[in-house]
This record gives sequence, structure tokens and C-alpha cells, in this order.
Amino acid sequence: MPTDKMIATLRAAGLTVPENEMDTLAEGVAILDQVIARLDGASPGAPAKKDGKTDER
Amino acid sequence: MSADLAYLSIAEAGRRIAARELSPVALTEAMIDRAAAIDDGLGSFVTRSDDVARTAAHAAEAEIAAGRYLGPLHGIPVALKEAFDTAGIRTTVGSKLFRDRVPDTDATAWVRLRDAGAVLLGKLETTEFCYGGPSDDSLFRPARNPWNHACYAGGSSSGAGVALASGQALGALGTDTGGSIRLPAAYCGITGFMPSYGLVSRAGVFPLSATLDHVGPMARSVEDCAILLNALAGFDAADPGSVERPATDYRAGLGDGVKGLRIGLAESLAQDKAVSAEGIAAYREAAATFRDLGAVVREVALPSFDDFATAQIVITIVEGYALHERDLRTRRQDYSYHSRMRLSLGPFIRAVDYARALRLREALIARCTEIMRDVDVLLAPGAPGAAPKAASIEAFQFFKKPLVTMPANVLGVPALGMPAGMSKDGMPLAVQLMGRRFDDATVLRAGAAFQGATAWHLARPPVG
Repeated sequence: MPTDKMIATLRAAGLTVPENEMDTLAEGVAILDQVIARLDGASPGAPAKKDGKTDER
Repeated sequence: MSADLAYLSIAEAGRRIAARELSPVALTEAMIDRAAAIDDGLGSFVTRSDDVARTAAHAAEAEIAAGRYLGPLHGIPVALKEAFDTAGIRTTVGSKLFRDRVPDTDATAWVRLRDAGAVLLGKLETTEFCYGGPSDDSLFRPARNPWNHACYAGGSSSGAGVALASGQALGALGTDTGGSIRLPAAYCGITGFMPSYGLVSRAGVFPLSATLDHVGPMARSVEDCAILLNALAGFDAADPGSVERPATDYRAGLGDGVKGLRIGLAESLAQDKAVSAEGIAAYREAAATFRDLGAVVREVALPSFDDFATAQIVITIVEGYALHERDLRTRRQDYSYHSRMRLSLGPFIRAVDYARALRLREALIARCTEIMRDVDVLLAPGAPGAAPKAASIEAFQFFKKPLVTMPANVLGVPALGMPAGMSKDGMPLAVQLMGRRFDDATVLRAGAAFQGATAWHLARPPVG
């Protein structure tokens, strides 16, 4: 997520994050984006393959 | 104090107390002395209630002498994670925001143990708000793993894992939203049980995620967890998630063994991206033990581990953020580093994604309910492996590498974490057993059979 969008999201929520924490938080947001992206591919009706992924993906 | 008394099981202490061979006062004093002698270096207790414990122990002794024995918890010294409210005893949930908070009521779970005669030794360290840590800027120093002080004790019920492993209490209560009972159990080498969602009241316990939080017993054996669960289980209108169920004696069937029991191997949770080679080896060894005991063991095809982790992570962040939004706006820097970083992800999840995560959970529950028609319990690794170094835990560690304990929270099913091996570095390894929702008794029975055939739960760290 671009930094300006991240700052805007925090501001809209009323949160103030010090500059020295922004890089780490950005890392967390990036990980979270990957987690949320998995909601698109989730196929819980399908059994997992040996590598832990579902067959449909 | 003799090591025998420090590591006495609840079952054995209860038997001796009932037979008037052991005094609850002597046992409680021994625990108080032990904590005074060794806990400064471990930090499992953040508040000790020595006087409260002494008063309760004397009352128990008098009651028993008068012929009013209440059962196997009467006169047994226990301790509570610091997320459980206790009237008149400071309860901070590990946070500077609650530094001086003293509740005026008791959590239902503690009331049930107290009514069964248990003696309260004090409050045990928790990572902040059951979500943070291990953070050096927490209100209290993170409890140290007694097997190796440099290693993570597991969280968030860290103090409970440490106190039990070091012989400072006979039993404890923890909470579990993604593994917070089972992870410290695994890393400290003790036994922890997360009951079915709705079986044990959470009233008076500080929440993290209303739809994933569980309260459960921690001890040094499955039998002791069952004894505690017998007192804890039961409907409570004060907990919106509580479910009315027929009374069950969770200790009664522990000796029935596993001959013919159908055990499913949760292979999708035993992947090298989630579990170390040693952790997987301990899991496979446990499967072999169950086969030797007569269980019918076979692989089952669970949904992807990623799906469980996705649901757990999204739901926990949103529900946790909803609780903390106001304080994060005004006192964010009073949270410990790890808590404030994790909770600050809340605004980045859209309502629609939370709804999709809830829908994913429903689909996972439906699929696993179907799978569980063909097996009685599931066996899986109990943790990512042996305890890592505490200093290596990053703010987003468990989002990057989700925990194998998360699926049981998503499903709301009972899950037992117990020791099942030792790493090459001398740290405990663990497995977990999961069952059908409200079939807690079968999970405990399988765990008891395993502990009857192995000695991993009897290993003790090099403490005092």
C-alpha cells in the first residue's frame, strides 16, 4: 500500500503513528494485504494438497 | 520443599488431602515458599496473593476436618492468568493502561474453581491484552521459559506455562484465541486444554476476539486438566457465547484407552512452512504411539492451513481493534510495542473483508464437521516446533508464519496441547489433539491414553 494511502487510512481512524514506527507498520500492512488477498482464493470445500494448498488454487 | 511436592499432580494431591495425609495449609505454604525462592528469575507471577491463599487454605483444612470435603480441587493451590478478574486483586491484563486496575468482581471461571475449594496463589503474567508480546516495554517483564531463559515461553498465557513447568502451582487458567493456552503448554512442556467454544464461561475475562476467545485449564497432565474442567464447565448467562450442555464427568472415561478410536492425521497442518522438522517428527512418533495403542490412524484431507490462518488473523485483528479503537486514538504509546503494532492494523481491514472472513469460517466449520464424521479426533503438531529465542519474535511473526493452533479456534472445537518429545537442544516438543465440538471428553480420553504410554509430560526443567 502506498505510504500516502496508509497515512490517510490511519488519519481517518484517528490514529497517530510516530514516524519511526511507520516502516514496521508498513511491513505489517503488506503482510495483511497478502492475508486478505487469500480470501479471494479460499476454497475450504476442497481438501489441501500435500503442500498445504488447496487444489483449486 | 521436596521436588515431589512441587510437582505433585492435582489428582494425587486431591487423593492425599481427602485421605488427610496432606494438609492444604502445608501444600499452600510449600507453593508460597517455592515462588519466593525461584520466581524472581522466572517472572511467572505478577501479583502473588499469599495472604488470600493462606486464608483459603486454612478454611479448606477446617472444612475438610469437619467432614465437608468438596472434591478433588479442595485445598489445591492454583493460579490465574492476569486476564481473569479477581475482586480486590490487581488485574492489569499486562498493560500500562490498566496499571492500577483492581476489579470488584470475580470472573465466573475463578468463582467455579473457588467454589470447588481451590486456593488462589496469585495472578500470572500475560502478554499485553492477550495479544502483545513478548515485549520488553510491557508493564511486566515477559515470563522466562524455565527450560532456557533466552527462549520464548509462548503466549499469551506465558506465566501459566512457566509457573506449572517450574512447580509453582498445581493448576492454572489460561485463555486461547489462536493458541494462547497450547503454545505456552508446548514451549514450557506442560499440558493445556482449550475446551469447545461455549463450554466454559468467559465472563469477567478480558476479551481479545469475542468469537474466537476460549477459557481453559492448564496443568501438568491430561487428568489434571479434566479435573479442572469438571469444575469449570457449565452454562453462564453472563457470557453471550455460553451454551447449555448436559453435565459431563470429563475424568470418568480417561482410562478407557483408544482401542478402535479413529484418529485422523491432520497432514495439512504438518507442513514444513509451519512446523520444524523436529516438530513434524514428534507428531509422526505420536501417530505411531496411537497405532500401537490400538487406534485406527489414517490421514485426513483437511482444508488448507492458509484458509484457517486467514480467517483467524482477520477476525482477531478486527475484533481486537474494535475493543481498543478508542484507547489507541488517545493512548497508543502506552501500549507495548508489539500490541500497538498488531492492533494498529485494524483500520486496514474493510468491513467487507471481515464479512468474508466470517463466511470463510462458516465454510471451514461445515467442511470439517463433515470430515469429523469419519474420525473421532484429529492429531496435529502442537506448535511450530521447539520454543524460539524470545528476542527473535517480531511484531508480525504470527501473521507471517501462522500458528498450527489457529484452526481449532476458527472451528470452536476442543484442542489439547501436550508434550510429545524433546528437541536436540533439550526443549519440549508438542502435539495437539482436536475433536468434535462438545466432544471434549473423547479428546481428553485420547490424551490420557497417550500420557499413559509416554513420559514426555513428566520431564522437568532444570529449576530448583
